[in-house]
Amino acid sequence: MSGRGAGRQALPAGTLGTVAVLVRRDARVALGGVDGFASVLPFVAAGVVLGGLVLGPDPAALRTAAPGLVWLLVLTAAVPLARVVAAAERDEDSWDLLRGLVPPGVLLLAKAAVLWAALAVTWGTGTVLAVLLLDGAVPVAGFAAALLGLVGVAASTTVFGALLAASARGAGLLAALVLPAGLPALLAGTQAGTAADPLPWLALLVAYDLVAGATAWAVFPFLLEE
Amino acid sequence: MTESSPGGAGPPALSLHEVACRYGGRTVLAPLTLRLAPGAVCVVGGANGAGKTTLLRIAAGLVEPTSGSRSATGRALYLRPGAGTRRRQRAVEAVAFAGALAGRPEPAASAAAALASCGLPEELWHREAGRLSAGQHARVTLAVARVVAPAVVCLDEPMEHLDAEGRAAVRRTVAALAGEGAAVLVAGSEVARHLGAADARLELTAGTVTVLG
Repeated sequence: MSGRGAGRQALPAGTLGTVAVLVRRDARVALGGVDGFASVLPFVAAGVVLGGLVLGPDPAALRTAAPGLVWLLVLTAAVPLARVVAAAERDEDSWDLLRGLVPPGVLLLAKAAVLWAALAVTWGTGTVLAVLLLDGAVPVAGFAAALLGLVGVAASTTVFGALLAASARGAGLLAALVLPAGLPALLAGTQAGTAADPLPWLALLVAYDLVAGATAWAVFPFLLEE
Repeated sequence: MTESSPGGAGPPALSLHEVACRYGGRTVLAPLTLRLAPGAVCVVGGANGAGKTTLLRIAAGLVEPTSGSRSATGRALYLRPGAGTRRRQRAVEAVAFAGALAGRPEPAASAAAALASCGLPEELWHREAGRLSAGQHARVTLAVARVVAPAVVCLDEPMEHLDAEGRAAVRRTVAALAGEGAAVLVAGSEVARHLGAADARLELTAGTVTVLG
């Protein structure tokens, strides 16, 4: 059929350069505005403060709940962040250009990289606030869990973002999908930051990344078709 | 089935073979065979809803036809006026971005040349695309087409929002793209009147194509 399908399975030469061009463009657009990514950070800050108030004044309870609270906020923030994949591009009529110039696999990598960076900043902001306000602590394993777990969350959210743009209706229902898809990251990421032996949880996150990445690689090209 | 092969007997830049499109049982585009040679310009006319956009999006590879096949020798672009940029990108950055994705060795210099050729005043090059007028934004889209230099260009209603000077810029851009070897499909209800010479003219009526010349 058309030439588009030719780029589905293999990544062409210059892939990293193209990914870098796309990521740089998305970063500039995100940093230049007050909506989108910038609106997520106040949401996370409010979530940490309100979460602390709900949990009560017991420092031990706050310290125990802090990592899970941050992961929950990151997962929730993934829903509005998914707009950067395709919906924002489509609204501004730039989506067709990307589909015409960038093979699906490269587009997936670039958008997942943008989302990973946005989610990492979101996790970092939430964690700093949790340390300051909830007396939380972040062991090295907690950082490793974030770096690993957010890969799978970014891959799932990229698929969700493409699905969101492809479906004019049912966006609310689709939003309910991204949260269960991130459940392994929520559970393993929280446990890796608090358990005495984090290695099994980190291994679980690697497995989650592989499954989420392979699924995204398989379905993303089909979500671009009309 | 309608068939048209303008622009010479060599290998076509764009080949549509009996492509048809149906949405929900309704025929949006009746079977059409079209071969465009490199450098050929084809004007597609028709009323709103006649199927022009569907034809162009199939030609650009964005829409899979319900039946038939499509092939192109290289990149294909589908552009509406104002498309191809993010609102917060500066005009010159948006064109350079497209050039970088297309593999231009010096995208910034190519972007400047493309914007100049499309008649966007230099003082607007560093303005955010979202703060340009519709006509100015449409010229940025033309510059995107120039800088990418695709094998197939599908311009949908490119004369929209444009004054006489802007329409002249469209004519220059179409001629330049064709001169560089691109097969150019231009659709619009008023395009034929404003564009002048073309290698083929198609008229769409409720999804059925008539070859006018």
